[in-house]
Amino acid sequence: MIINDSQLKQLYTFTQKHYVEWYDLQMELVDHLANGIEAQWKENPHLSFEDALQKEFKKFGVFGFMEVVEERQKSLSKKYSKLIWKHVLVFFKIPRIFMLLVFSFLVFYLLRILTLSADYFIAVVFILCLGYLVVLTVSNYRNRKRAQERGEKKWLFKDIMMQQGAGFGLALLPIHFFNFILPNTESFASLNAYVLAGISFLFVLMCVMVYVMLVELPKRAEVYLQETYPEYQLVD
Amino acid sequence: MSHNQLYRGSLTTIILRLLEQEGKMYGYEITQKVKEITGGRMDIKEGALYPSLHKLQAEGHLTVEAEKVENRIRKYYSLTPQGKKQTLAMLSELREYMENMQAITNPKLVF
Repeated sequence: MIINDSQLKQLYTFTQKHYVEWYDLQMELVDHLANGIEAQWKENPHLSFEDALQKEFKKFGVFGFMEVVEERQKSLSKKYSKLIWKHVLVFFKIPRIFMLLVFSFLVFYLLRILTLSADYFIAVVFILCLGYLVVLTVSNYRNRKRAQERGEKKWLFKDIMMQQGAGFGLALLPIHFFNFILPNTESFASLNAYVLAGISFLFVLMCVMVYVMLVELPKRAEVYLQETYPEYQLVD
Repeated sequence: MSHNQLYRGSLTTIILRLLEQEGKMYGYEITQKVKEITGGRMDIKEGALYPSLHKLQAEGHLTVEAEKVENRIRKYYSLTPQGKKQTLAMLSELREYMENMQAITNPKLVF
């Protein structure tokens, strides 16, 4: 006896009910459960599908699929950060390094001549980032709803790539440290040139990271998804 | 897996060694193979197997291919060249550990 199509669908629903939202993980777990149930049927052909499923699920332990999902999230997030760094490192090679240096110098120069208070500068950056986060959250929510309506399958790595906003929010924290380090500075222009150069470079580097996360990686999303999921093309 | 803490630490080595011998395997197959080899004395917990497989894959030790089998898609794991090196390293580490344990639990008496 083998699992039929309607039972296979039931298995997918079962994994969903047990908090496995993503199709890539569901697929592997469904195959596992199906194999287990079929093996039980070989021993005892009269066993009901439901009973066999419960017995098979128990083997996953008290946490069910939780550990499987958590570990997968962890390893794919790591993969995502590695990808970001890989793309950022390209900016440290010729010819892009010149761009990095020119922009850093430009920021340095601007900060030098502007008698803008550091607080203003940080406030502007902060507001821009906050605005970006709001826009991203709204658009994510809309995309998610649309995908749900169309019955699209969810891929964990795709979700990670599209939800970079959360990580970016954390990346903002270092900016506030400037505030603590330089509490009484009237303007950037009065800072030590080396410190200012460092700030300029870090600022440009942050822009590069945002560019990689928002433009370069989503542009190559399909390639990376196929690389992560060999099953991507087998799914209709 | 048996509830024994000793076995739990060796899960990665077991997976790597099996893949080295068998070439490519899928998750369920690994659990069954371990049962078969140990005559049912050792049972890998599914809740620990998949996290380990995904971790090894993320570390670049394993590669995955997918195949349509009957009405479902099956994921097969196999060793990468880096994974093969890792297997050798882990096996020799395990051997050393076993020798040391042997020496401690069953010391040879020298007169």
